[in-house]
Amino acid sequence: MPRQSEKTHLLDSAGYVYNFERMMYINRQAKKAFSYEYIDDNPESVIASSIQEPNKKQDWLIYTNLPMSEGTEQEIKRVLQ
Amino acid sequence: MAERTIEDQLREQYVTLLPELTRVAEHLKTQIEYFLLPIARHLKPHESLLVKARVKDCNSAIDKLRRGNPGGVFDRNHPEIYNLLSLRDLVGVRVMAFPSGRAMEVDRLLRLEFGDWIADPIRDGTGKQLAFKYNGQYTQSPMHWIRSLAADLAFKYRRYTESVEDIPCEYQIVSTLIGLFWDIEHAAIYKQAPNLKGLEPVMREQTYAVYLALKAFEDEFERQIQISESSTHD
Repeated sequence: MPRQSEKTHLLDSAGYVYNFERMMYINRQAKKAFSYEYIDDNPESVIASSIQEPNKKQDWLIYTNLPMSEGTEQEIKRVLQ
Repeated sequence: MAERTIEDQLREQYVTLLPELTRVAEHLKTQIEYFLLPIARHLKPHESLLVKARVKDCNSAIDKLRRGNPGGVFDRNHPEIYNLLSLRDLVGVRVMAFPSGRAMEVDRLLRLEFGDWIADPIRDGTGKQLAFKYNGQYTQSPMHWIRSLAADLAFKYRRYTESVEDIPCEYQIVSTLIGLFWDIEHAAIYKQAPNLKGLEPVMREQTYAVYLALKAFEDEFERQIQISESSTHD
């Protein structure tokens, strides 16, 4: 059974909390969010570098596997506010 | 006047579809029960076969569509892309069989009747198959059902009237123990609060532990029955 715990440990220690309504790991201070699928499908190294990636914008940085439509991205940012 | 939301639009579609969904669920259940009579008639006292049908409830259906998008949100700029008929499990029938050897027999028998439905087996975290699952479509007829050998991969029943609407359905075959666990897990937890459905992925390891325990119980039970039967025949 592949364990999620190694990846979630990375997210926990970087201050990300799983939101089951959005199915995303969210850090409000860093203004970054990772979809569950993104965490599930990518190796730890990719997740670690995504966590490290600085958010230079004042806006939310959202990581998903599939590209989002503009409307979807706007809606996610709206509900995360 | 308040703006009409995507949820409003989908609720209206649900209410319109509901009578047809209910009829299709009953029809599919009855059909499956009929096809399974050769097995049901010969069950041993400790064996069981249970067929249950359900129509996905309105909130769960809308919630599932919403969850199909990143972040679990609707794209409010494009309400036209959302349609409840895109959900493959709007109508579902679950066959629960005990012991698991009976589930295999059920699958073989139903494949003879639903050979063109698309297989989509349910697997646990290790890729092991937990249940058989097949998807197809019905086109409902108020008067009678005409089976058409249409080119698509499903049974099709042409409507008596002019309008034709395909209803997506699925049937699953699962061991009784796991099926009953799903009943509790889904009905008692997620159905009361569809927003808790997002807990499912993070509960994966614990859920897998339950499957292992139930499978071990079932395997040992079957082994003991076999030992007992072979000693009776000696």
